[in-house]
Amino acid sequence: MIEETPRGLALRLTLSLKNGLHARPAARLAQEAQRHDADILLICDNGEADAKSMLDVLSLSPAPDAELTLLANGPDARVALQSLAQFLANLQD
Amino acid sequence: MARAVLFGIPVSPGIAIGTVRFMHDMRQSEERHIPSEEIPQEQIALRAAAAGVRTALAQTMRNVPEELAEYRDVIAAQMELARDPKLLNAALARIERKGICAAWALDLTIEELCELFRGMDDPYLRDRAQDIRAVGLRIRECLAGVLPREADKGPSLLVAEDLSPADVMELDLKGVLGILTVEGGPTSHTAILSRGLRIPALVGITGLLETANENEPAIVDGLSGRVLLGPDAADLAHYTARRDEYSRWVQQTRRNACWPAEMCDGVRVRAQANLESPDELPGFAESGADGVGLYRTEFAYLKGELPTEEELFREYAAVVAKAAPQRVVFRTLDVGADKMLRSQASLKEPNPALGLRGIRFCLRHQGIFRTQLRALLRAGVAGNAALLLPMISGLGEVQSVRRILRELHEELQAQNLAHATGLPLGVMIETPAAVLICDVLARECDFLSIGTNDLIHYLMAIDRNNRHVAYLNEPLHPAVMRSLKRIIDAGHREGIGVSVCGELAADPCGLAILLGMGVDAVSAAPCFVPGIKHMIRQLRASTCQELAHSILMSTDVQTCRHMVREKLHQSLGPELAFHTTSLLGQSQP
Repeated sequence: MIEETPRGLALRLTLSLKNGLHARPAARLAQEAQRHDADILLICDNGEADAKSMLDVLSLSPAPDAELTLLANGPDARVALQSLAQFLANLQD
Repeated sequence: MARAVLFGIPVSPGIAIGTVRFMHDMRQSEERHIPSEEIPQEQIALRAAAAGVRTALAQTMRNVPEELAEYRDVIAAQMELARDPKLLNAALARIERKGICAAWALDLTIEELCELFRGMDDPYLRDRAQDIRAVGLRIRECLAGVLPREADKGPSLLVAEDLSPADVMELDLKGVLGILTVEGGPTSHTAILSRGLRIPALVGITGLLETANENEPAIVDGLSGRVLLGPDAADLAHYTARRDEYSRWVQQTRRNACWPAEMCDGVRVRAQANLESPDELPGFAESGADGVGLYRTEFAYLKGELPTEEELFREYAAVVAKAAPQRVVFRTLDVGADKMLRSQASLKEPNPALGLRGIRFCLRHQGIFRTQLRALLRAGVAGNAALLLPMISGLGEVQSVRRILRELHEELQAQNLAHATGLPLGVMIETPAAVLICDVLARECDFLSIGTNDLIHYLMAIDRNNRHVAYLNEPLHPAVMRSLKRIIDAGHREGIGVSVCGELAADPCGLAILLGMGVDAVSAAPCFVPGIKHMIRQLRASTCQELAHSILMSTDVQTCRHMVREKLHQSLGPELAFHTTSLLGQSQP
């Protein structure tokens, strides 16, 4: 469900991973995010991370079952959110 | 560079002559302030270097063979790091803000990120600092115009502070002739890995990093435990001759590797191989080993995520099928101490060697254990497999495993999956508790296996990583000798076989004593098996029995050492020098 917020388009989702967003999935996520022009933020209880930076995502280290908000700003924000949500849903670690 | 000799602990036999190559770049990089008009060009240089690293990595990726698919993930993560906005933008901004050159800005950024990751609670994330550093080094080399690591500098001797299993996974070992490290002991990962790769190696070399210089010629004598830096012509001639002599001996033992390990007076034992991964199977086939005495199953678990039953099944079935009809003894997951799984590391045990490791961990985390056992039971139909439980300290643990095996058998039957029933079940004797109740354990099991490394550590109450107490690591200590005898006798009284799979089995002195005590099988790294069989064929069981008897009667370690050396010298002659003995003091005459 994509919502318009003052900070940009937002999408909430819940991770369901066995081992969390460790190096491999974080690398794939960053790769996926870089295909879009929009700035994409990953927000969870631990803080915020630039979805295009594997290092940022890694250091955010969301729990394997964390509640996440994806926040996108830019011309292709909506497409970016949809594709990342799809990507995270299919992500197997 | 002047000629210098350093001493270390020989952990993998052989002699190597080459040039020194530091595993980690020790050189100080350029630290230069730049005028503002140079800023754009430094930024362009940094971007180009990062792009260059990505291209080089993509190239490497294409060359990764199919069977090493897991390396691709490591490389993919490195490629991602090489274009990470956090890393790159921070460095680019630094060039501009501080007016410094690209290499310096990169170093500062990498250092900052490494600090950040090293300070994290999660040990997995802490270890990622090493990936960031690795990528930083690559970009730096590219900036400095150094050729990438892949196009290497010919026969080299790798010098490092220490090597972790992760280091080795990422290392390009082509062209590495010898390994030298400052840290580590006879049972360190460097030791085990270098032996597996048949690369001469010395560990525990004090002053190595200070004395050695990159690209300097050097000689590694993995037989006597010496490194010669900047050797002169006479050294080179001497060592070239010795290297050739040794390699002739090795070739001879390998040619005869398939001959049985039968002593002069007709007593036959089994000489088996210790393996870590299916990659070692070619070496196993050449070694002439009588089966796999110890298959360590931890490697599949060291990659940050748990392997699936199918992955494990494929690995185990391949090994079993390859070794058939000979037996493969699989040691079930032995994590703990320095081989941490993520889920276990979160326990933060102050003393992991005495904590939840081996069978204790498996019985606590039964999900992980059951997955492995199911894979093993299924792989059992491909040939001749046996199970070995590590870190046993009581009968209850064996009974629990038997119960789990029965449940899994019913489960697999219900799912109609082919699996082996009644796989032989053995236990590792490596705790003092297990030694004292080995008669009870022998009645419950199909075989006993002695892990001498851990047994010595636990008997002597020493930490394997603590160099201050390394002097207590004494296999000839009466407590160790009596324990070995007690275990072997207990097994034989119950009519089951006893094997030894620790380093002691590969040591000529240890081997002679074990043979004298009547051990049924010894197991060592494949590279040692031909030499072990060759040595067994030169010994007499009666001589070994007398030797073992004298050793057991004596309480003085020095006397024992002289005795065993003398006996071996009589039986083996000058060939004794070709067997590395890392456990029984080299310095003795």
